Amino acid sequence: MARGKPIPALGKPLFTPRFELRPVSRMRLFLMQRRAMADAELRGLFLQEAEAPSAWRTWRRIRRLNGRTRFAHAIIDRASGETIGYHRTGMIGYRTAGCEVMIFDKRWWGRGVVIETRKALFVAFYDHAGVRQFSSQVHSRNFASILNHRKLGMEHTGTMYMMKLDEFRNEPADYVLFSIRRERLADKIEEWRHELG
Amino acid sequence: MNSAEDALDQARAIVAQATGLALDSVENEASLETLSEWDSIAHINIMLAVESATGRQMAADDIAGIVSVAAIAAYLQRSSGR
Repeated sequence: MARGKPIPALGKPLFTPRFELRPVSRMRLFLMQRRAMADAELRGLFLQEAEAPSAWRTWRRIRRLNGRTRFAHAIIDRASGETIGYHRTGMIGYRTAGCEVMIFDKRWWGRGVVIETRKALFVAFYDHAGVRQFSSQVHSRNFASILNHRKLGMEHTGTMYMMKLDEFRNEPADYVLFSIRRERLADKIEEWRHELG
Repeated sequence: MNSAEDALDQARAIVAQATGLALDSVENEASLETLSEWDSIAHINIMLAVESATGRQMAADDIAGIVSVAAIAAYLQRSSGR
């Protein structure tokens, strides 16, 4: 990987059996986030904030996507061509990527979207960005997301207690940390590569 | 909860109910890796059923560890002993 330059392979769409993962611009990501955060249920799971954030705040939260250390992909249903969610990936340390996913089309909840798309993304980042560890943090009441992390083979590596006030439940929100790295990740990558063809 | 066996039976019943499987097909060794029916929607129902059974909200560390019938049974037993 050349230092300071975008990674060409990660600037191209990725495909899974059911979905296309299309790299998007900061503006496109902003529009998707605005759509998602207008939904109170999604806001409760991801931000735990009663009010939808302003456009300016949403924009500021999205750092410039440079194709080298910060990436975003729209998740597109290949059959219908509809965008059903997005995935963000960012380099957060030595060969470590943090990731976040949002499926805002609720018709797709419970249908394995996150697992299928993350397998393809993890393989691509492993191959082209030299990532050897993936990490993420999840609100402890987001049971579906926790299951997805465990199904991907990610391990519970810690808990951040009382990270913020959950305005929907009116109580402090804990976040659980997950990661997968080294040999375990290498084994999974081989398995997923074979699975995805 | 009287015994480990009772806890396992209750855990199996919770998983069977949430996944829509017959009780007999949920073994003591079942986990999210062995049961394809244990998807994200089933998992939400499992967690809520466990909290309902114990009458208390689970701690974050416990939530992350609920990945099998055995883990649910262990949690049920721990909770009844509190």
